[in-house]
Amino acid sequence: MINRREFLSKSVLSLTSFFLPLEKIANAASKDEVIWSGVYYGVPTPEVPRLLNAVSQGIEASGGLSALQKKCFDLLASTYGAENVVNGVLEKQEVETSSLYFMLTFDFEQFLDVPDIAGGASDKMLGIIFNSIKVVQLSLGDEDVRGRFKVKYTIPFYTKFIGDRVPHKTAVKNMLYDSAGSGLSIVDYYANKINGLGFKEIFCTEDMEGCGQAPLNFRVSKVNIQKKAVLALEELGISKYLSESFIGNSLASALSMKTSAITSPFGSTYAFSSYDGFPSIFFERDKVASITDTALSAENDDAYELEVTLIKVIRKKTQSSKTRRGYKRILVFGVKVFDGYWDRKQIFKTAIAIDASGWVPTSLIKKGRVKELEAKAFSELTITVFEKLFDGVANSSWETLGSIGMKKDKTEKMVNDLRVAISKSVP
Amino acid sequence: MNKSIKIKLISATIAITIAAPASAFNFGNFAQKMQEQMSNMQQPGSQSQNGASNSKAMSVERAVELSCKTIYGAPFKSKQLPSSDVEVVSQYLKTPSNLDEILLVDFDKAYSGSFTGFTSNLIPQLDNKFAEQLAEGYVREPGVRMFAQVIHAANSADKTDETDNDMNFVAPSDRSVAKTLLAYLLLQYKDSGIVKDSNAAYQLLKKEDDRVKLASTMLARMHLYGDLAKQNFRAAFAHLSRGDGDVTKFKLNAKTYADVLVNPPKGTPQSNIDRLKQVAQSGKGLMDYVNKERKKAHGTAAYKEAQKLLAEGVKIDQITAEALGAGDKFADAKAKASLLIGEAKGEQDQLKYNVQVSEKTMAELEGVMNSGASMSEDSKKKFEEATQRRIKAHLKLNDLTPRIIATGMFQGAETAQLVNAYKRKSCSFLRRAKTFAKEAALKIEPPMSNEELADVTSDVSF
Repeated sequence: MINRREFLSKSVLSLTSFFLPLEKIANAASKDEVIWSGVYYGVPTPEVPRLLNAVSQGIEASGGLSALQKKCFDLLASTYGAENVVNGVLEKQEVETSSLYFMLTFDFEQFLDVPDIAGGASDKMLGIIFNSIKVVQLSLGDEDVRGRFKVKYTIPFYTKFIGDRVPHKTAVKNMLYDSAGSGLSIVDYYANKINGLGFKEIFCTEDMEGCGQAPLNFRVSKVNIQKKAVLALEELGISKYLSESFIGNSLASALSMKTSAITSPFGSTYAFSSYDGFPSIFFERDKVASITDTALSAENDDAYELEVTLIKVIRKKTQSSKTRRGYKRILVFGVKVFDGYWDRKQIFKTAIAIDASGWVPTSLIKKGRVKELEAKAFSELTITVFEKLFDGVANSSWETLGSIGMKKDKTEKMVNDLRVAISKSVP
Repeated sequence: MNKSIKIKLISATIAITIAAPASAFNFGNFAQKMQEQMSNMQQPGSQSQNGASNSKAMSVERAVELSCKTIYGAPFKSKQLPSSDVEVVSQYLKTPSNLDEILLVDFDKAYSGSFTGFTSNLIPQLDNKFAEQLAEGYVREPGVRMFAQVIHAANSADKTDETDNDMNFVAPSDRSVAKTLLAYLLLQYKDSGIVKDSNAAYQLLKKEDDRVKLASTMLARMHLYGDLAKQNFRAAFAHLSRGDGDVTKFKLNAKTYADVLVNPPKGTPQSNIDRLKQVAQSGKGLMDYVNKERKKAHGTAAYKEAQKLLAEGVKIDQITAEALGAGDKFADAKAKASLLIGEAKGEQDQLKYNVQVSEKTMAELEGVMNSGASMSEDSKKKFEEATQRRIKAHLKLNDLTPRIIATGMFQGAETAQLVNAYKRKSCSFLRRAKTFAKEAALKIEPPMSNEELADVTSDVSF
């Protein structure tokens, strides 16, 4: 039995699909619908217990994946109207070219149990989860037209938990639904963002009346760590914390959160193409998986590419007493931005630096617990320096940019170029 | 003693007692308040109020320092180095970024065999004032900075040996002894993975053999045990004899004799052991030292004063514990002391009890300070007042031990031992209280300026 949507779409597609690009196909459909497509882990399923251990356990401890799926669906329905939103997770779907598919993925986590430098008996904790909201379009194609997959919006963001140490799953529960202690919870951030994407606007295409130019997008294409920095990280014992994944995800999230620019999350696109990812909601799962895989393997057409290089990791002793040692920590990154849409022209290249000082009790040094403190300190510095960069660029604040070692006389033109690029990428 | 002299002495004592915290245990404006109080306690003839106060304050601090010399070590004045600390230490050590932590943590390591670990007991055996100060400085602050100072001294300290009028060798130069100290420190870190050349210590000691007794003794031990050098008994005993000296001073050498006599390393020839016995019994050796130790005198005269001061110590501990928000630690210490001593039946038991309470409380409170305790302004005031009283009691106890022994009272030795135990703990606590006060006033380094950060980013390539 054919339903209403299938009927409409099939009849329209059969006439137009050969000639029209995806946006036009979508536009031609009679009803714009939002399909809730699920919550996914951004890593292969067998790797979830290792790479997203806290997140997966936290989800289980707070009602399971189904409770989170329902919450996300309800938020979509209340934002765009229940009549416009279909829960694609509850029943298998036909591919709807006119529809927009929404999903939430967990891309990366970092949980650190750190000793209390104020001498408290129990540990403190820093938990960071990198997530992303993804909105995609899909067409199956037919004999004449190849199926197409297009990522329309990706919104990476992170959620932090800072406080007394609790079981990681308890922290994740808090980060998912409650005030995470530092900013919005994951669900609240998700609600906030979809609320900012007006229903009419998300279906906009450039040829439609009242619609401006479609937003371009950024992608963190490369993370380098220079040899000296690798050595310094190894000596501090924090290589696995200040990893390429952490740096890449921090950069992408900072750009998205500080400027609202559409930004591909750093790393795997696994959730889009795996059989247990996005394709799993469709009757024609295999075909969808093949289409998304082919699309993602093809040369990407991201408008702007970001490359980041960790250049220096410095920790030096500044003060010393019997029980405390004062350390200054410095991070230096190099950031390049390429306009990759036409001919990959470099539009931005600068080094940024950040420093902070702190005490380390010698008792913790003797207990061998410095590594966690350093990991926390350098992780926070990494996020802060990227936030300052994009905050400074977006707001033309030379006070902010100066505080990360940028000089106006040397970088003003580049900053302006980057601001223009960011403005073209905001929906 | 006439009345005016007596008044002057009392005034001086009060000024000294109060001035010490103002300089050494200074929390913010407390020092200023102390200065104001002192303005009414000037000694006759002082040039200026402030000048006199400061000078007396320093003398009290010095008095505490001297009474605690074995614990504090004399202050070591850092020398200007030709390059950075890290560059200097790189002559002997690898320089990972956590080198400072390794040097701190592994300084407490103990070993078995020829080298058992660097302890404060070795310091007087260096028998050289400069090197002893250097070593005390290192004990106080094990780390890159002081290691660089030791290497610098081993490279460039005065190399003139002390000679008598006939130009005969009398004592080794500062540089020679510093080289020996450096060798011992290299041995301390032998298993830490940071010493570039595992043979460097041996080579340094070898150069100072027959000049620095501690160098000869360690070479003897190395050859005796065969763990850090080839086992060679002939060489070992030759080195051991070169390390001979006053057994009350060169204890490691005496201990090596004792070690061989009591528990000779496997393979030690019997003839060597027999010969050592003869040396030990000859009067200048080990037996003589042991016998001297046994002949320690008994005494009683200052017994009552000791009782009073040690009881005062317990009160001071209680106030300090309250200031640090650790009243429960004081109560615990009292309970533990009661368990250990039992019901106090007499004065001696009470003395033991008080010392037990104080030792335990001070140990606990040091832990509280080490954990980074913070205090309110009221608590700081209480802490300062308690510290003043502690200094006063400490200085009074300082000369008590010989007086107790001199009286010949039968509990004298035990009392002296209790007083000494208390004093040791008091030294350690006062030192900690002083650094704690300084730490409370220490400010963390401010962030770099925009210009400084711009400099950091200006010379990078990527």
